[in-house]
Amino acid sequence: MVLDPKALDWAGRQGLDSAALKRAKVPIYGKWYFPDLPANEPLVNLSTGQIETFGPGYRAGAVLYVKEADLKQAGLGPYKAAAPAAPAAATPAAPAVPAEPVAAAVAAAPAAPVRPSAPAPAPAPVAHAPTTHHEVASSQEVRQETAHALGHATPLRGHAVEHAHPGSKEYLIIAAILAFITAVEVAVYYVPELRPFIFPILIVLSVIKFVMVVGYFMHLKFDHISFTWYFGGGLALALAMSMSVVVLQIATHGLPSGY
Amino acid sequence: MVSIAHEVQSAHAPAHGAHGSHEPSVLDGPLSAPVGHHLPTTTGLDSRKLLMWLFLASDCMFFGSLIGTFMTYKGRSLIPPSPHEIFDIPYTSVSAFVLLMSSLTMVLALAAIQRNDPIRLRVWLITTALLGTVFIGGQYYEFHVFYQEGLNLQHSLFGSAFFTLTGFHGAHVTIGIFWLLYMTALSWTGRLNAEQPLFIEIAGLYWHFVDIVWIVIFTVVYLLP
Repeated sequence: MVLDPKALDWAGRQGLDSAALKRAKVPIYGKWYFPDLPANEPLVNLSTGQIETFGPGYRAGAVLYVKEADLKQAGLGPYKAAAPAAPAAATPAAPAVPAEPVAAAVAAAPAAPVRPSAPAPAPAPVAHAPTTHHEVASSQEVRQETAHALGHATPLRGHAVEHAHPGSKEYLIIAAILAFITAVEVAVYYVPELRPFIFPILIVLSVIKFVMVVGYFMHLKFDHISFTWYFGGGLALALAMSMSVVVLQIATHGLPSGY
Repeated sequence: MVSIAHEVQSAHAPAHGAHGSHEPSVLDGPLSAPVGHHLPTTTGLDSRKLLMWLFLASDCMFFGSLIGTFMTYKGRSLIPPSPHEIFDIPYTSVSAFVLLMSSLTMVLALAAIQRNDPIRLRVWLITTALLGTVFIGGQYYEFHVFYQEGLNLQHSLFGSAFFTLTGFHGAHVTIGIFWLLYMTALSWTGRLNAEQPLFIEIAGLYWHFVDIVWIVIFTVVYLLP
């Protein structure tokens, strides 16, 4: 998975992509990178530029994060000009000064969701953009972002991160694989030597196609796990129902002639 | 001076409800409510998307029953023609390929609206509808040929099971085509913009579902001996 700057609005504006981050050895936290989010560490959301802090036990999904300190140290994004002058920018005593401050757009920052176990008072809506790092840090202290707006007791996988999907290039690759599998299926049908194995081969190939379409085109792989359970439940019932009908028919009437 | 963007439409922020604004509901009309990523619903998920997934789960059972019926009667029809006598596998393979590619164009339409690219959105939506129409046209031609061969809904176990299964699938595809054309019209009139990708995503879920159903039908009905 390569970051598509177009899909990551803030990162795209900052000229950040996976190649630049990897070159700078900046760890990326996300489903396909390091899934476990570091606890109590200011993280930059690459989609929004927002700094978020998570408690222990949270896992990233499709939204990608990097440590704010790592960005500063590497001099990437808003800290582009600050890195050479301030290699120890992570320390509060040596605040980094980016050449191009990111435009803050906090017209009415909503009250941050909090975990039920830590009922911190919600801050008043911020009506202005934080202009200093100190202000950002202060606002972070009261912004204990969680992955769920409603404050479930346990972190939910990928809840913070629906809707970040593969790019057009990945879709084309998946479609090419699907077309190839379809061609193989038809070829298997015409090869007499494969007739004894045609049943398992075709079933496996169609299952692969099914899973690829559901996982990538329908984004079930990237969406909240609940959707997988809901759809998988219906699918399991459908399979059980159709198989039981077939088995009952065979049990009562035997196999049809020719089998 | 350092500042990091705190954007209003954060994926983590409760976009509705927290400030007294109303929660989007079906009663608001299909396009009136902005689409937030994390709505204050009991599940924390968008109810419209959840509803579509639940519908698809129930549709799985619907098609599961039809496919199960077809498999139950497979090879038990005593009246010719039998499936291997009349199926034109190369022809149906092309149809399957067309429907598969329509899934690609559908997901490209979603990617286009997420990039706020209405021109490509419409191009891909129309392409998807066109590919769906080609599939339906192919199915109509296939049905016509089978009818000429003497196979119809009342002809045999095979005819009943085959036309019921593929006919319902064709009906689903037809509904999907109209849905896509409706989405195209909304985009054309400016009522569908980059803030509402959910509407395309939900239509896409339905379209991909008819594709995966055809993946199963193509294997079970046409290819398996």
